[in-house]
Amino acid sequence: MEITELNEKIKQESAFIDTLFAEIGKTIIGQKEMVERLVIGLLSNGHILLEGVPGLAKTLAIKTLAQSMQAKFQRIQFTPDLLPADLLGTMIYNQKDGNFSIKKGPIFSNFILADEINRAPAKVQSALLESMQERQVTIGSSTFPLEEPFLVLATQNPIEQEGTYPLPEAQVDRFMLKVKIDYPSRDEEQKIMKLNIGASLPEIKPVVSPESILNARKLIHTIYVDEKIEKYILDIVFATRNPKEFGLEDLQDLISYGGSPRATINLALGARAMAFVKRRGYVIPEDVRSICMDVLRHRIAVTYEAEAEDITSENIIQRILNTVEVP
Amino acid sequence: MIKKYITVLIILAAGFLNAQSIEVYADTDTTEYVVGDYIHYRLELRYTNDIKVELPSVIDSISMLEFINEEPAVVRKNDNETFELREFVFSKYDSAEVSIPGYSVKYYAGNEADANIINVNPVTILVRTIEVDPSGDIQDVKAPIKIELNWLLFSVIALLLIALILAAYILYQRYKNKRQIVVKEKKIIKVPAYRIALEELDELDSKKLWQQGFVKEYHSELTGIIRKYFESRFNFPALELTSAEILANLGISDADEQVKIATNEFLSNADMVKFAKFKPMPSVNEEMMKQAYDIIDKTKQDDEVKVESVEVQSVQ
Repeated sequence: MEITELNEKIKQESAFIDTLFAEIGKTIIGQKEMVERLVIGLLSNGHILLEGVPGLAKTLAIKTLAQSMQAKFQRIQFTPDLLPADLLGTMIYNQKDGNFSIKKGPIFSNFILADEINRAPAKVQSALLESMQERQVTIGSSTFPLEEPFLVLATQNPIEQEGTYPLPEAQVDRFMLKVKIDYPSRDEEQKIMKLNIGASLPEIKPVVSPESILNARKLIHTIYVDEKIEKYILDIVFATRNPKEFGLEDLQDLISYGGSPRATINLALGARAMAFVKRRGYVIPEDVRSICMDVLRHRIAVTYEAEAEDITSENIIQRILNTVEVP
Repeated sequence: MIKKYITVLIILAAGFLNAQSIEVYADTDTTEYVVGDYIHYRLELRYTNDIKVELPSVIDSISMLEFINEEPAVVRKNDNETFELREFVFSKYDSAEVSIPGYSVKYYAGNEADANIINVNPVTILVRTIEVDPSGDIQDVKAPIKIELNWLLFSVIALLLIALILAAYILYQRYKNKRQIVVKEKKIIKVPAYRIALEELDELDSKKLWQQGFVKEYHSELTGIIRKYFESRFNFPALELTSAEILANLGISDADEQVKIATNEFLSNADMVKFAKFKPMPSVNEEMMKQAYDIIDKTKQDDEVKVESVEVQSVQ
């Protein structure tokens, strides 16, 4: 397909994005980046780890997204006594007929909000992360595919770390994006206040069907990624592993380990989805840069030296982005 | 007469017995100790040379004390007799009256195959604690060690230090006197960024890349020249920025509005070619070159001679 033709097709097919953002914007004031990342995760078939203090409309955002798509939504509050069966489902004994029947868990929905994922023990986290990866759940001897589209938005509270079970690095890597959200601006907060002290929140109408999302996913695979962009993505990821080779000698001792090949894949996928959101048929360096922080921040481990100097993975990514030459 | 023989035999037997004699004696250096003190336990053996002595394990025999070490054995031998001194160091960390028990020492007289036994005497010692006066102040177990000041060593070190300081001062004075500072202003003519960029554009034009089919390379080099020019001209890292970021930086620079619009168009068109397989018309390629010249022309700064650095030279 010619690029002009592809560009035109993407423009047409991605028209629902603006409608979707507008519908979500009825109840979610500000937090544009979070909403954009939610859509990118949805379009790239990835999952999102969200970090932010309570009360920043995380639940409302995903609930609104589900409503605007006429999709099933479930919120699961992760607690220390949660069991994998509470999440996935279990076999229930029926006294009447003396048989076991399968009771599916809340994971069988399109949108899952795994609230405070680090409050549940490792076995529950593993159950969720495995389902996220395999997109199927086995209860007893039966295996069930999960709903499509399937998006998990897990939240972590950056404060109150006591009594939590931090996600292991290998499992954090399974989240396509780790999004950090901050407080809204003063103007935004005023709008939020006005909206919430009213009689009721605006009604969210379904503006996109889950099928449109699945079609968009197929279309995203046709978005053109030039070799120069591929090289740029590789340069960024390799700079997290061998900063010395990119003239960042001072970062060598600050990085314990850099981005995995999964980081490269997700950066490319995210950049493609970003191009779709921006209604373009090709990826530009801007797309890579805008998604880079969210793809890499949880995939780079800093050393004790870095921690002692208060240097975070975000500082490292910023340095890399400021050093790696843009094509 | 028979009585006489018996008397002689008794005397001879007594003499024979006296010829094969052995004595053992155990003792400690004192009978009273304070807990933790070293208890020197000595075992003396005196025996005729035709006797072979087999000592038991003294350490095992004295299990009520903590073994510290064993001193080297002292053995003195003359023509008839051997004197052997064994010394063991023990300690005890509880107060008690301790009775070091006696134990048996085996010996073989002459060529006898059967062993004889002689018993070592027991020794009683008293181990007492340090008496503490509960009404008194808390005191150090031992008083701090006072190291006597070695005046000779102190004087030598002081003299050496003084000599070292003097030597350093003399050397510094010599260096200061020798060094004649000449300040030279180094004038460097900095070639303006626009001239470099124009030269590069001329060179790119002469390469005729797009005419040979290398359209993408042509646009990459063209935007590369402009980005490098912006870096020098407007002092922002344009080579590490995306087109949108360059435009944002240009937005806060002193470039006029027309240039910003032209740059936006220039970079967007180039991005299409670079990243979207877009094949522009030859006229667009030519137009891009013109736009590049135009951007430089509208943002160029005049030539000037700049004092780049001040050089300080030392003349010997």
